[in-house]
Amino acid sequence: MGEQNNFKLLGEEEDNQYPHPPPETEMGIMGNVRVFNFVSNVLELYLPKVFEMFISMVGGVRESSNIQSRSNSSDDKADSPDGNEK
Amino acid sequence: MQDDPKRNPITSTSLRSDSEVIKLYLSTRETAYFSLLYNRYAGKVFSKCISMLKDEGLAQDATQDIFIKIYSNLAKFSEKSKFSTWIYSITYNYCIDFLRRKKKEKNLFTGEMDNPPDIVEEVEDHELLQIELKKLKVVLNKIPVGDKAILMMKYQEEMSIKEIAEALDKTESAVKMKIKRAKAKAMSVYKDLFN
Repeated sequence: MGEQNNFKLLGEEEDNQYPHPPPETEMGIMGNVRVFNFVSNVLELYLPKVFEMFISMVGGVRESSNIQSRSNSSDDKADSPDGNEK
Repeated sequence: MQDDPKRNPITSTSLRSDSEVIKLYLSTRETAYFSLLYNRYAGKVFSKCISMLKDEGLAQDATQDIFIKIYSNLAKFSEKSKFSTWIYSITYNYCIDFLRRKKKEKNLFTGEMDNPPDIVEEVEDHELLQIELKKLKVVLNKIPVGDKAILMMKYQEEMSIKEIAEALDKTESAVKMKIKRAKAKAMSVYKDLFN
């Protein structure tokens, strides 16, 4: 059909008038992107460790040591002649 | 010069589609892929910001903020619409919000005024689309900026009512009414100035 659309022509004219933002804009954006990437990598690597450290600081026990102590206590029960905890 | 994909896997992606580049970026987090998307769309985003904000300095800051927004929401891009449509809806939305925050433009859309017109005259699309280029430019700069944005989304970007509604967080019927009012406003400004 090819109906005339001067909105499109106006858009093309504006695009030609301002073909690209100045290079500082790109530098600013890419700088931010690099910082965000770095921060998210650091968080991904170290955040779980920070939680573990916090848990042990408030007196909690890590899951792996819980399992070990549970297996130790069941050994103790088995050693006792009446099966009761010592 | 032609890109050699074996020598430089990133520059070879310049021939790939937007969605392929996005997938590559999300899987590798390599900034060069994001830079490629920036180079494809920065010019258009910048010129739309100048057109809406009418200030080159503000448009530069806006372009920066818009691309940071695009970066942080890239994983949410669902490919329901074209990537360009998604970017332009973020751009128009940003400009409308910016002008609203500045409170310089209190009434961004016709109909948000104290006494919205009860009866809106129906304007045929072709009447609006065929306004002479220079006159159209003047008319678009005279109407409220929200009206300008919604007309550009509809007739320049050819976004569907649904896409505009999603971009502006309005219902489809509200968007239809806003377009109708914006067309009537543009046509009345045109008649006042040039008839």
